[in-house]
Amino acid sequence: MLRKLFTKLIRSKKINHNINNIPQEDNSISKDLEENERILHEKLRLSSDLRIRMFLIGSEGKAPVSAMIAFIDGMCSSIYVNRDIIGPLMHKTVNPKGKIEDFVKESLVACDAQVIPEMDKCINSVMEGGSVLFIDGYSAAIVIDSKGYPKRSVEQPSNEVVMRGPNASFTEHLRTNTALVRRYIKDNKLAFEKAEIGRRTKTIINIVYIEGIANNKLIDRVRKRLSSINTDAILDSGYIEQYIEDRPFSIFATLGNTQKPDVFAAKLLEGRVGILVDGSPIALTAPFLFQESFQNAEDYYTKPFYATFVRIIRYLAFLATIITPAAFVALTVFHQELIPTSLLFSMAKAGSGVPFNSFHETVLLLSVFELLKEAGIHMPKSMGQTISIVGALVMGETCVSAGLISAPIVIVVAFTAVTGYVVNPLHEQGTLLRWGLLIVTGFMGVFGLILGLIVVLIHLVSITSFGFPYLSPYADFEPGDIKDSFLRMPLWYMVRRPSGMSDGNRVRVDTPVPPSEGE
Amino acid sequence: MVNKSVKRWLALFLTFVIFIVTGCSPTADKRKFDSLAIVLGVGIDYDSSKDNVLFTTQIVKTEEFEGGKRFFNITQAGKNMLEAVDNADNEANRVLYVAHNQIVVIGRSAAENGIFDYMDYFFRDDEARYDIAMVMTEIDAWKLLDKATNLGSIPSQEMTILLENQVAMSSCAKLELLQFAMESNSCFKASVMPIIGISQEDPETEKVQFEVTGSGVFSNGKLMYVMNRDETRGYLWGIGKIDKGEIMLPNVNVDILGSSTELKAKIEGDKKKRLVITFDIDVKGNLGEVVKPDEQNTQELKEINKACEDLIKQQLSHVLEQSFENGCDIFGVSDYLFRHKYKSWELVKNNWQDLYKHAAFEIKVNANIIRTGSLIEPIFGSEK
Repeated sequence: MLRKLFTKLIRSKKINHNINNIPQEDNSISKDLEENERILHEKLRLSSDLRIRMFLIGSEGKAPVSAMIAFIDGMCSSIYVNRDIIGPLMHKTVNPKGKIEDFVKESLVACDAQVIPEMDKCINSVMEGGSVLFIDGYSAAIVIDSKGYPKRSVEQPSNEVVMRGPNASFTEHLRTNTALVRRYIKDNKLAFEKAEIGRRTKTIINIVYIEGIANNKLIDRVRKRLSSINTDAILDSGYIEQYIEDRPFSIFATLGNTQKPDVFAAKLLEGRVGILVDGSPIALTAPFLFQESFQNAEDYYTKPFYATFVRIIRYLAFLATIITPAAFVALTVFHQELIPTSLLFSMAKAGSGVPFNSFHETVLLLSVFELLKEAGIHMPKSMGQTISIVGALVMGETCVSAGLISAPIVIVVAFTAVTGYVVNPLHEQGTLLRWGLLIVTGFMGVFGLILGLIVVLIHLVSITSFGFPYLSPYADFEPGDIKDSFLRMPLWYMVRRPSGMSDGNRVRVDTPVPPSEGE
Repeated sequence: MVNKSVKRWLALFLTFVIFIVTGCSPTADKRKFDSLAIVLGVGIDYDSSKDNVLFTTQIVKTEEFEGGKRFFNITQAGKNMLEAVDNADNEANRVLYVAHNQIVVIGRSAAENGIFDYMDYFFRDDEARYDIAMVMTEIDAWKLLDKATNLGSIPSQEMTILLENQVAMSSCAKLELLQFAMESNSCFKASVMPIIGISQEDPETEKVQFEVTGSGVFSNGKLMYVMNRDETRGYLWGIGKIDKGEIMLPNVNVDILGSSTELKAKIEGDKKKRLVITFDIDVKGNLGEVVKPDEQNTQELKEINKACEDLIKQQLSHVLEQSFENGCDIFGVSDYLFRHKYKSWELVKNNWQDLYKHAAFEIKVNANIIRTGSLIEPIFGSEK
């Protein structure tokens, strides 16, 4: 509904997509080395970090041949280039003759070398961090993968720390990420499909799935949506997510994200499709169901009883965080008859002399909390203490004793804040829902609250994520799938993969019940 | 010709405006907590000299205060209930908030004069609750509501708690507002309302203890007669609301575990109709205490059971006869006939008073001491 409203209220103009109307130039590589050098200097004249090294191949031999290697300083590993490419070639005694492919086979010490006859592809690889070797007399160049840009080491994840279980996190480097995934799934059916998105950023993304488990239709859908992205820049997986998600106007995410390779691997093994984006430590998974927000990696590494208990608490916490401020306002502004009598006395005593209506108090204090939250994220580490002191003492304590707000509202907001962090994936949605329900309740009391909840429920039920109902297994009821929703049944009980996602390959474990004592 | 998108924004804006204008908004400061006068109890009296009704409200003081009473009462007179309530609103300076009202006290004067005229108010107010208790007093309601209690709580709350305890101990039956209304609109049922009185008063501090002294029987909104505690007990046997309590026999006390009563009635006779009421009571008990161990006390369980049955029969008969005398159908016999024996009811309903006065009854009690694991022999004083 919002989509229709949006597109009709704001008249969108047709955007001219023809950025790629660059007139075709001569793309070939000349046999003349100096000509190639000139072309390189011309095309990359804006890059002051371009390095071109001219050297002689086989300089100790009889007929050395001129060659040139071009790379970008900072993107390329100069140690590798020196040691493994320039060095051996310079000290060779045999000269390159015959086909360039033979030369590569015989003489080039590089584990990743390709012969490319087009200049723009060579320039692209230089931009990516590779180095390109031009040899005088050949009309093709050799592109060598010598990437050596700065990258972060594998650290603990910032958001999804667990107490028990692996604590590795994806980094911004795609190759590291794929290696981390392969460490968990050493199956040759694990597929990494490469795609390049973003006209200027030329970001490489990988579509990851396990052939035979993932639903083919699902893979096609993901491919199709990715191929329809037509944009300048992909800076983070979040961009990809916003371009291919099912409901751009809904506050609920239809693509999952995770920072941990073991979680990613688990989702792949269930039949989901994953997307790894170069430059982003967050991996995406499709489809994403509502219940996944309440699942945590740790649930699976511990025994099922506590995991089930914690799951149920998470659901209740989410409900608590969106309903509590609205319920408080509903009770104290509209329906005082629902409050127990003795509580009414203490609230009347606490609220005497306070200038604001209960609704205004709640709005005020929730806004203050949101501001504190935002300040906490963006402030320098050295000032962390100040904000917590200011927040707790000034806002909470002093305001109450000054008579600006009443004590019960501080309790309500504090409780809301704490329960808001229990279900971290739904943190943003929780905030928005909380405010929405609060406003509606402020106008219409409990009726408004229930109305708001019904609207949210109807919206949730209508969302699908890549063809799967968002609220399955609750809405699209499949009894077998309950075993991993608000319960977490023992691992040896979860014999089948979630329905719909796997393509017929449903059975995943075949251990029977663990052996009893004595066996 | 207005643009389509402009129309849509306009519609949205108007909806928003409607919300605010109709007062359906949080800025409409209907009720802040300190603008409420929280009413906890209400009293009704009748002033016969001026033909006025006296309406008393008990409002709780929520602010901090030093000693003294935690409440204050407002008593106003008026020709009818609404006028009295209006006057009370004026005197209180605040909106009377009756949603937390817990008790309605009816003074003797009003009870004798008839309360139907006054009860209508309670059902028309949209915030009043229907499950609150109705009680009666022998003195004036406003006097009763004025007494501070020893425990420091507010009289209305104290009375409510007292009533709950007494009902739990099966000493009296609670009469709720809605129940009273329904019974008054049924065939001929008389409502039984507990009577609260003052048991002790401290002359210095003027703090009191409340007690339930019995019940009043109301027919057609007027008080017909008063039952004391024993008679109230008998009444409870008849309606089957005895779940706890004791049956006190000469030598033993029987602790009641539960009971059930079934009431049946029928019309007999052809020309001269006769009403026959049957009570079927089932009691389960436990030996609570053995008194007077010196005397003969090795009674058999059978004898104890028989003694219980006799006592119950006696209590219930007395209450029945009392109700026949006053012509008040406290057990709802007329309702039973209306529901289960409609045809015969139709024939006799015009002659009800006469029929009821001359009714016959039959009481069958089945008392059972279970849990015979308890000792028959007392610990102290028995002959060895």
